Amino acid sequence: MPASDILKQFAADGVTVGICVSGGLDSKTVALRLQQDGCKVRCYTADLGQPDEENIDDVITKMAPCGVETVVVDLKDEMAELAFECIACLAQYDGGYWQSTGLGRIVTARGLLAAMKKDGCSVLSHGATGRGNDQVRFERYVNVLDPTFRVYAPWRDQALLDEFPGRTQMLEFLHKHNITHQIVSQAAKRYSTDANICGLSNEAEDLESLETPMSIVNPVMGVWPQQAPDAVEEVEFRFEKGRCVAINGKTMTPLEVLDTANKIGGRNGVGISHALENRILGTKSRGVYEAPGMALLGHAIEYVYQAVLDRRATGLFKYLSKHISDQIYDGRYFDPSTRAAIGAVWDLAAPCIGTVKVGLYKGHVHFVSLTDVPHSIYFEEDASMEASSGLNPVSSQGFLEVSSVEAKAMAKSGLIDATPVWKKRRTA
Amino acid sequence: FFSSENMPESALLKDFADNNDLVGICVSGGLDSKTVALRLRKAGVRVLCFTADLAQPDEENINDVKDKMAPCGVETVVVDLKNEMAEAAFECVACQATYDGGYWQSTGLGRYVTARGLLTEMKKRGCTVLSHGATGRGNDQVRFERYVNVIDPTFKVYAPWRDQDLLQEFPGRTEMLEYLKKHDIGHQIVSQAAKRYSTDANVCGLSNEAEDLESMETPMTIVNPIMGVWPKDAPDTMEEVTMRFEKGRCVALNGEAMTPLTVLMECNKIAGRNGVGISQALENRILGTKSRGVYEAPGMTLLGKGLDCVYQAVLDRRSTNLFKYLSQHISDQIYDGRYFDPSTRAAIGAVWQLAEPANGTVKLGLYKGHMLFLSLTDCPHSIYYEDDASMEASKGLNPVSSQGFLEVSSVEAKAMAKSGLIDIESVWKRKA
Repeated sequence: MPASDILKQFAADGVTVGICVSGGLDSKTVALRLQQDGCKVRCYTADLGQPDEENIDDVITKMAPCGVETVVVDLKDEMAELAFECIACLAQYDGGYWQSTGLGRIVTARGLLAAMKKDGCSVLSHGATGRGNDQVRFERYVNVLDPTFRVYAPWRDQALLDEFPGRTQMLEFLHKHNITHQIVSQAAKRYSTDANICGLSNEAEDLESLETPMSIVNPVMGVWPQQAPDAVEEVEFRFEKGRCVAINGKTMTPLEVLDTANKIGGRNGVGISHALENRILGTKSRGVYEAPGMALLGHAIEYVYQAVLDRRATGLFKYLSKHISDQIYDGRYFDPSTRAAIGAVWDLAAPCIGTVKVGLYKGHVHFVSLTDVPHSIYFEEDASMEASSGLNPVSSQGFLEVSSVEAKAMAKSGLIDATPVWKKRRTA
Repeated sequence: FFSSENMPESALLKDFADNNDLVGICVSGGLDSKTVALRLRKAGVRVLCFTADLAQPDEENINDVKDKMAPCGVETVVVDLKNEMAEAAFECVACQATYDGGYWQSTGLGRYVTARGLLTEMKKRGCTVLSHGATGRGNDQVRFERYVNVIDPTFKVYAPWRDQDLLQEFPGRTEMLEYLKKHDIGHQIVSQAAKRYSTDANVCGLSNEAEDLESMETPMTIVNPIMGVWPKDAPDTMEEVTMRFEKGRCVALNGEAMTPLTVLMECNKIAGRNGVGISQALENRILGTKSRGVYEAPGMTLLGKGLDCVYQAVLDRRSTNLFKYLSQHISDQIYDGRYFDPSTRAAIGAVWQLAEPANGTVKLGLYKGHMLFLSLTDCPHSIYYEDDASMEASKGLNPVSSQGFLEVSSVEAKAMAKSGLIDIESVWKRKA
């Protein structure tokens, strides 16, 4: 097969290529193929608390037959910190997606790049396809973290695309080199999954068709609502400054909180969502997502936010949240505007302290109580329909008289049309 | 200056009597309505009552309101506004104009339909004042009055529950009941034990608040849904429903073409029996205070989800962003009683424009309050092409082209790094 010019250049330059691997078919194929063209390589894998990895160290043994050494980098705490940030920012993307993949790429790029530099690598190779989001994320993160570091994308290399059009060719290639590969049963699962402790993103293959129901997905972190218990499970969260510090009265680290929330949310069928989303490159993509812990924590923190954030703060928060969400999705997490927005969210979240109790039932999260909220601006006497010492109803007379002035001005100057807009458009 | 009951007269009511105004009272047939109608008459004010038929799910027969009010010595005009409510619902769904906590604004929509509809009838019959029953702490006083102001700036408004004299005379339901009894007017009280909150209802949904719901230690589950059931009482099997949308409006349900009102009522039934559309919020009121509400809106929730599936296929990313901005604006304006304001109409017009190509057939599976995507078909303006997204080789987006795309994007990324603008330390840690 013709050599890859890009790889030949790496070999000539004598650089070491750090390959991001997962231990799957792609990883083995790329690791072997790069060496074939004379490249020096080292493999790296991120421990992100992947729920579909029994033991992350297995990746080392899976990759070893390819003649490579694999470094495992523990990034679980970094993932938990990012999850906490994403929850505080309520930074979901289209369709309510909690961005498990987008968050994972930030942590992976930052963490693996650091390890690669320590080891003297000068190129990062990632396994993302040429149609997706992750190529943009990996590469942009390398660019901003170290503008001198090079990037290699095997699945944009025409030579490799020609040699390995599909899994069949990759399997044959490994077979030829006496490397075995355990294939996940095709019958059981007809879609592609990316997973970490924040959640799972499922897409591709059968999910590409819009006539495939979302329910073909088998959840890994929990169950579908149908399989959840037919009883309500109550859970209590303590939030301080917008971060969950305790669950059911027990103080925990962010990683422990996320893990526990995943379990509780998962067993109650919480957090499975669907989207036909806008990709970075402008095309649409269909995905089914699991994020039981983040969805659960996100619901809970909203109750605290609703008590503490006044209307204009809420309006600002929504704008910041949307910006942060788009930036995370687009691989722009470290950009100055993202950090400024995140800082503003932490400022808004500083007084967001409260104890939230919710009831979980077959995928639903319903409000049970909110207590110990010292900065709540909800005062029953101001809202109540009963007589109380709160907001004086008679004062509203003056309020309404003032508001009537600008309202009447619009009417008097002919700016008011009470016909339904739809009707006007039809007859225009 | 003193009425026959030896209570101080309300100066406002005395003015109406002296001017020979005809006051149009918005009534529901409840305790408040009877009290206000009788009280105004006793003050020598000429009155005529009006009620809006909004296909309220908690009203067996809207014409019953006439009989309920008759003992107070008043005539009640029923104004059929059901089609207007359905149009309001269709517009709100197209705009995805939910407020804090996912509230589909059944009350906000109801108020502009009611104000517009009843005011028109009042004027036809020579009224010069509109009296509404909204409290002095809430949103509806703002909505009713602002709508009267913008539709007819010469029409007067009376708010009994901001009238200090009436507030003193009727501090609570007990005093209102005694007042009616004294005038031999019966009133059937809704059992206090069964329901400890206040409800506003129309074909779009129910808003429940007040009384026991005021406490943040009261679970949302004390509410008994009227338009459907809680998820736990929904069937343990999935029900499929197919909605056909054209230009962002649902024109057929399960293959059958229907009017907006029929669509809404059918969707209420289908979604309601499957436990769809119950939500809660601690929301920001117009006057700036917070208020706790539990809402039902089964049909609108179902339609909203269905239409969202079409929008996700048809709206490109920048359209999606514009849509979200317009949607937020429209939602706030509806909530604030600013539905007829120019900016609201401009935004709604823009939404209908974006919705022009939103044609598609959506199939959802309803299970115990959840709505699962099953399929989207016959979507001629979808910009989703499997070839461009697929992980398999195909003739779509050429992966090798991405090399150039990424090389271009690396330039601005590296520029930021080179000028020292990149900090990778956790923001939270930096603030500590």
